Order: sequence, then C-alpha cells, then structure tokens
Amino acid sequence: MEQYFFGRHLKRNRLFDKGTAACLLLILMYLSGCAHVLGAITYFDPTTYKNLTDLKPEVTALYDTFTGDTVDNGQISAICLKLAQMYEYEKGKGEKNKETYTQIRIIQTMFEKHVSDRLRDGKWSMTHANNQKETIAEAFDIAIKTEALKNK
Amino acid sequence: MGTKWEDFINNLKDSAGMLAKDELKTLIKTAKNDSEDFIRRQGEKMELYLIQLAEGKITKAQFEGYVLDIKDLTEMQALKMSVAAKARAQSLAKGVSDLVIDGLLTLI
Repeated sequence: MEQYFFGRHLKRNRLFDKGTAACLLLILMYLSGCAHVLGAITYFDPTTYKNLTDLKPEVTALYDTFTGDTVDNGQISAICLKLAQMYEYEKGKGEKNKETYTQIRIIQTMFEKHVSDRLRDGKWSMTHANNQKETIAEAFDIAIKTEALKNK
Repeated sequence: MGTKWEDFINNLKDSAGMLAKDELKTLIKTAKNDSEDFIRRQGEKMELYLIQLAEGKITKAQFEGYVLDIKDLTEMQALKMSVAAKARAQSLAKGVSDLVIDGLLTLI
C-alpha cells in the first residue's frame, strides 16, 4: 500500500513537473515572442556611432564661422553630403532602424534650416550662434546616445 | 512682480486674448521642475530664449526657430525612448531564449 501511494505520488509529481514545465515553456515562448515584436530593432553599429561623433564637431565648427562675414559654401555642401550619406546608410538597414534614420532626417532638416537662416539673414550674433550650436549639438547627442543604447 | 521672462509675457499686449499667458507660464515652470533631465532642460531653454527676446538679443523669427527646434528635439528624444524600450525587450528575448529555453528547460 505504502509502495502504491509512494509510486502514485512520484507519478503525480512527474506529471505535475511536466505540466509546469510545459506551462512555463509556453509563457516564456509568449514572452519571447512579445519581446521579439517589441524589440524589432537593429544592434549597435560602430559605423553609425563614428559617423555621428565625427560629424558633430564639424557642424559646430561650421556654426562658429557663421558669425563672420563670409560663408564657406564648400564646407556646407560637404556636410550636406555627409548627412545625406548617413541617412541612406541608416535607411538601408530597413524598418528595424526607423528610429535612427528618422533622427538623422531631423538633424538634416534642422541643419538645412539653420544654414538657410544664415544665408538669408546674414551673419549670426554671438547669442544666436551659441543657441544654434547648442541645439544642433543636442540633436547629435540624442542620436549618439540612442545608438549607444542598442544591444551589442 | 515675477521674473524677467514672466514680466515679459505679462506685459505683452493681447487685446484679442490670443495667448493663454497663465498656461504658458505654467508649462515652462512645470517643465523646469520635471524629474526628466531632457524636459527640465527644454524648460530652462524656453526661459532663456524668452529673456533673450525680452532683452532684444534675438529676433521674433529666431525665437520661433528655437521653439520649432525644441519640438524636433522632443521628437528625437521620443525616438530615443522607443529604442531604449525595444533594446530592453530584445535583451529579455535573448535571455529567455539562451538562458531559459536552451539552458534551464533542457535540465528540467
């Protein structure tokens, strides 16, 4: 009798273990699936990080020159080209990289707006230059930090 | 008597009642006291720009440009927050797959 109960107890435990394991597996697979959908994102890309950190000081250095009488059109064109290349590079990674390529597009638009302001209204005051420089630097910083948040 | 930027808003002639002065002041003050660094910084910038506008250091068009820039920066920040959430979810998915499904459950 004792053996019967002991054996049945063992059998029940094994069944319980299998059931628990199956439930656990299903829950984990569900969580994993949810996370997969939520986590549809590219991994950290050192090229993106480098492109952003290289271009940020180039743009702020250009803004420093906007307080002067002349404008370096060559440098403006060079930065416009780099931003366009960066956008194409990021967009090429597909929808999983939507956040980053949208950020680059915002930086591109912001830069073009600032340059138009300089070309239309003339040289910047120190106050205006500092404000614009801070803003574009902040935009780059957000994009840089965004890339750094991605998993390696 | 408020601060310089508050006085500037208070003294604006608005006979048509176009500007919700109190709401604007509350918006800036709330942002400046937010626990999020980013929001606090934007509030401080709004205050700074209003002072600069009041002092005639920047033009109305420049001020408008700055406000639009804050809007763009906020959009960028929202995208950053989305990436942060997705990166955490991605880590969870990888952990579940590598450590639990391929590891723990093979031992049970």
